[in-house]
Amino acid sequence: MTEKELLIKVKQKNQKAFTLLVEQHKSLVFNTAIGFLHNKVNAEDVTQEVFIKTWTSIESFRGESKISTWLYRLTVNMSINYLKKNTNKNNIISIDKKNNENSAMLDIEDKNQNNSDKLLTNKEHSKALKYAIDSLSQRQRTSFILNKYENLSYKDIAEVMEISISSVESLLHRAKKNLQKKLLNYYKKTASF
Amino acid sequence: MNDCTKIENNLIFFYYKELNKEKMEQINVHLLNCSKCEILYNQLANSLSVIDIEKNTDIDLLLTNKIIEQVLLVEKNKKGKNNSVVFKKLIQTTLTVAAISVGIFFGVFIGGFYESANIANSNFEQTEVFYFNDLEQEAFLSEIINNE
Ligand SMILES: [Zn+2]
Repeated sequence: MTEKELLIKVKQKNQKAFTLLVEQHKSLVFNTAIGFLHNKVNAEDVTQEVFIKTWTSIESFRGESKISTWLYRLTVNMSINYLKKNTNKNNIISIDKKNNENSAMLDIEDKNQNNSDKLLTNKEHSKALKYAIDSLSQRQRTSFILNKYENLSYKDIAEVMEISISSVESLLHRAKKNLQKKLLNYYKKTASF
Repeated sequence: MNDCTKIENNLIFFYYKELNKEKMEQINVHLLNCSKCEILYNQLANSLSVIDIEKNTDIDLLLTNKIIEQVLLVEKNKKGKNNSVVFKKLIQTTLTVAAISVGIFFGVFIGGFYESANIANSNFEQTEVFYFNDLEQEAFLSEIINNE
């Protein structure tokens, strides 16, 4: 069955066709969501929301792009909304919002952390990465997640984000520079370089 | 800018192998000879490798079933809502028709009651009808005219 045929059946509210659509695309939705949320349960919540939204509003999909492009857009938007809704619930780590070069360090409140040890634990690396990614601007974060979590090409990212390929290149370059800056500053602070 | 700062500025591109051959080699050599940069690079590589761990997170095998269950629930609620909307509209129409019918019935009933009551109790009975252009009523006017 081609994608077009599958979508016609989904639009006719065919449950079997919809199950096939979910099976074929759940990984891309889940992986993108986990890039934003860094949490399995939350990423599964967003995956469910994305597919429910797909079921209820598939009529608005005009078939001008691939269904995957449409799903990526939905997932990015719903993940960002999910984060906004749950921002203040689990603030274990905070980043100085003044964006000051010296103070933009990750302030981890993990009391078990051993600063004398120069190497971080896996848990700390996970937290450091999460908050370094979260500190990126929305566009830099989106392009980075689509590129590194979903291995999307610049062309595909440009299509999902509805921007030019050169803008994607520029966003990704700045995203990596900023990530590097945040992470290196963090290692230097915690390891007392 | 010293060598270490130059290297630090490119560590993430080195990790992603996005530098030309010459720069890749230059950083490689520096990392072999500078423990400070080497430690920083290893830290960065470890943090960035979390992405690969997250990417390979197993999805709940029942996720598809859960999604289908949710979708069926949405459909059920939608049908329930539609039924209640139809029921509401039916009730509204019935009540409106009933209210209008009761209104008409009472209007006719009360109107009929007053009409018969007024006629029965009335002392006045109009026997003659005068019109302003009735010739017999113009006697006064004709007198004035005749006097002229
Ligand atoms: Zn160095």
